[in-house]
Amino acid sequence: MDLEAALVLGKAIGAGIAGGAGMIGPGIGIGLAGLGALISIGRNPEVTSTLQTYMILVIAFAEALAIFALVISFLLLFAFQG
Amino acid sequence: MKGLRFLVLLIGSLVVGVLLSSFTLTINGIAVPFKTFIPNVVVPSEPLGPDWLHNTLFTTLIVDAVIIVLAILGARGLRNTLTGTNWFARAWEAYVEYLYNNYLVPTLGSRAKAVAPIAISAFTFIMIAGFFELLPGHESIGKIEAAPPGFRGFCAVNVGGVWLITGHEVDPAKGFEASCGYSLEQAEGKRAAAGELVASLSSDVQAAQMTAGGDPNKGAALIPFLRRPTSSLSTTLALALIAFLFIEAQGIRANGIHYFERFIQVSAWRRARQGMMQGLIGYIQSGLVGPLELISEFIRILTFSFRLFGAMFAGTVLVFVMTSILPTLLPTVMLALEFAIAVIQAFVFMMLVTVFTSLAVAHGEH
Repeated sequence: MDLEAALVLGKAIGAGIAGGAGMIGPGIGIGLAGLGALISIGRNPEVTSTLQTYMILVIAFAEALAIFALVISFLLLFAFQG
Repeated sequence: MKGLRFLVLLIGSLVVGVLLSSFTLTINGIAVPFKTFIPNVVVPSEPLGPDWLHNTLFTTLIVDAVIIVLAILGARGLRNTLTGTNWFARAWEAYVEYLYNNYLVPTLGSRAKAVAPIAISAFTFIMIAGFFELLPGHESIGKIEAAPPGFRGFCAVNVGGVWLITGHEVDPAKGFEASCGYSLEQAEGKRAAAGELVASLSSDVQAAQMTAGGDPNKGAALIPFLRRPTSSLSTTLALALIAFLFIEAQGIRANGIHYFERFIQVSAWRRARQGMMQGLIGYIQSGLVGPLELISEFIRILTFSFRLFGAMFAGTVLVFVMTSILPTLLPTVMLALEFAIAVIQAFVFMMLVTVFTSLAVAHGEH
């Protein structure tokens, strides 16, 4: 296998793994944040507006990790010249 | 009845989408095949003409102009608030007061007034910059150029002086004519007969050839005029640096020199030496927590900038991919999502500035 083909293959595999595997953790995290907020709202509906703000904030933190993975996979695909 | 109309619209747009994804037109006397495609995805911003004017900077200036005009209109309305009812000024008031009362005051209390200008400005800028994805022509109207190295070149055709990219890719090994089925002269149209080779391509192309080594034979590439400023890392890094410096300044303003005690924990060290805390734990706390705090402070620049850049850039690529699959229904759904993401990311940026400022300010007060 010549170097150029190996480079393309490595890029694709690396970007796929970075994007896919990097989403697992944030997915669980966002799910947990939503679960916690929903349980709390179910028990105590008056706090909905306050909880929503904090839930979005927590989700943003978890989402940031997913976006880092996405950025790495994009950089591998489009910006990595090898 | 309403459901039926919706169904007809849905199926109709699906059919139109399938028809649009691949068709052939006769232009300049040649059959030109068109198809949907994924354009060049470029991470850094691209220069438009002069080297300092990149397309994200151009769009930043437009966003700034929009915000300034809106703000001036709102401020002019504020002058006669007492006598008349200017709906525009009222709308601005409602907007600012909603954010201020619901999000800034509960977190910051009396300090909300100092944070409000920068937090709400950042919110407005990021939100309006994000909305530029919804403008027709975003990432699709621009300067056409011979594909520079590292870009994929596409077949193009001249329709009345405007170059259209057809979506078929040019194989650099085979050249323009063998890949597209028609020559550059044919693509240019009538003027080719007079020996004037590819007029509007050629002027840009020659410049590109000299600067970037582009070759018209390798196909055309599009450099869009409009690109969301927040989909370039430079813009988001600038926003992150402003937010970071602002947060540190607020911390220093509130706590004075004691603000730095969180990084070099003098009092904890002293207490540990005096044996007031349990020996080892006190030393670990004073020696280890300080550097960790310092690192987490600087990591914020990274998270601030990469979160925004990643969300916006991923959105752009997502719309590209969806458009290449089906040009009618899917992009509409994705653009609706982009609308929401623009607001949410702006909100997250504002909230993070607020929360981090409250952390920096509150440190000395316990």
